[in-house]
Amino acid sequence: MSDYSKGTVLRIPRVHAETLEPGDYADDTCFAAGWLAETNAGWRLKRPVIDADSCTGCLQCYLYCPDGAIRKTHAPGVAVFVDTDFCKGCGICKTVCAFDSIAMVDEAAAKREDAARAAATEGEHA
Amino acid sequence: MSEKKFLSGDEAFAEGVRLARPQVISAYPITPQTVVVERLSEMVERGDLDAEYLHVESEHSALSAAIGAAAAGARAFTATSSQGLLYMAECLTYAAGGRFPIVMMNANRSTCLPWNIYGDQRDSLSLLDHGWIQVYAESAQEALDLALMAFRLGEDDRVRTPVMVCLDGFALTHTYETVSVPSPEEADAFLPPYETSNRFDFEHPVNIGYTAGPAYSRYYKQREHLDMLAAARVVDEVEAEFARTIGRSYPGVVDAWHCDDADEIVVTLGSIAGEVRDVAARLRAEGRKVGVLRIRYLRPLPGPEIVAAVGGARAVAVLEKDVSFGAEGTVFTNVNSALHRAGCAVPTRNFIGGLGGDDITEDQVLQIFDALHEVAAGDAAQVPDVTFLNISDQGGDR
Repeated sequence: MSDYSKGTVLRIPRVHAETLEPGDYADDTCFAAGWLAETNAGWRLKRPVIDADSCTGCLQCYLYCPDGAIRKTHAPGVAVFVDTDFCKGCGICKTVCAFDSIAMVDEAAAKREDAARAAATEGEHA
Repeated sequence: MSEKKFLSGDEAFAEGVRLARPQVISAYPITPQTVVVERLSEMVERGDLDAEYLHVESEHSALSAAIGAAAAGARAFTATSSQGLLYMAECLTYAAGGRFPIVMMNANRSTCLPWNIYGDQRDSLSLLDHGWIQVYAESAQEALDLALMAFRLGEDDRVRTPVMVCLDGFALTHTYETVSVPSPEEADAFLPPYETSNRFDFEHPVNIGYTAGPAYSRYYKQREHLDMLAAARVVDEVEAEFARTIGRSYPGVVDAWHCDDADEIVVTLGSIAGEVRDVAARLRAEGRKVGVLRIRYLRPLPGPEIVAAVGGARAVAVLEKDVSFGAEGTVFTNVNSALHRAGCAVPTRNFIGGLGGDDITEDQVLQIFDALHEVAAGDAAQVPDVTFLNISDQGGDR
């Protein structure tokens, strides 16, 4: 299965807490979407992986994700990707996918794979 | 042109809400508020009020629905009382912390057990801490006017805080008086439509009602507090505008009657103030220097205004329709704190009456003034700190 959780896709800009003053945000609990203070995915035990080949781009996973952590790629090939900075691994996306295109893989294993891939990429550019 | 109608407190309040043009009304009935939501439903059915009227399944849902409506940018109204207010209590902080300027009418009614549906002020006074502005009406006219002013106040950009307007159950909600009802044109001149950025918007997507951890939470809470304190000045502005557009004046966060030169002052809330002033007027005619301070807005706590009004007296009584069990009356606590913070040492005494709809007689009010006279004369020990009216055996060891 292909992993589109990272890669050359659109990322929402984030502003970290240290660049915001309380005056910028503490007037009410309403803030422009997409500006989040910090990542929040530390409790994820399983990570969704979307298979590009069987994904039809129906966008049900995108609509159902309770954290808005599935984004449109706005690119040909696969319609969506999972933002692993904010996905909590609830698996709702897998449950609603009518085409069985989403697999929930062990997070620890996936992290190890990511690290290995990153090290390999660095090695290539060294 | 305004017109005169003979209305109960509840009916007058409903008229005020009609004129305020809420877009969403979430309603759950509870005595003695029921007439408010019934009248509003009739107005909506007749087409006199263009609002989404939701008959919800509970008070918790009523305020939750109002919060949802406010988060969509709608002017929202609900009403409740007593156990209903307590049932929606967890939603009070959502509305306040979310900075949604919802207006809620609360018919002050006793809380159980024993079961009692009559008026006292325990319900709202037990919930002063949850971030809502609280204002107490004395008359049906004031109730109608407060309905309009509450929206204007809460929606002000410097305030952005929900407002609870309290009417004494039965004593005010169900008694009738002649009320001047403004025309829609006058009301519209005073209260413009609700505009806010604190709402969902397809054009400007937002994250509403999010979590804030320890590093951030304190800033929100501090601002909530400071904005509520600042609301006291906005009250003055709103009332000045009300006087300009509708023609009736109100005296600000407190209503002081002959306090300037008074030796003995009774501080109170709500409709009982009229009776207290009647008794005080007779005493004045006899040469007694007495005064009455009616606190209108209890949140924000008008500390400076209380101190200015009563700080120069020789004895002050707080007459209220509640008790914080195991301590004293809540208004007494608030007044004492304001005085103490100002370094003012005027002796104060608490008189708790009207519980569960109990009548407070003119004779009892007279006795309160007489007790103050004793305290002022140096006989402070004769008058206990806290007295329950209409009970011969005060009991206790205090």
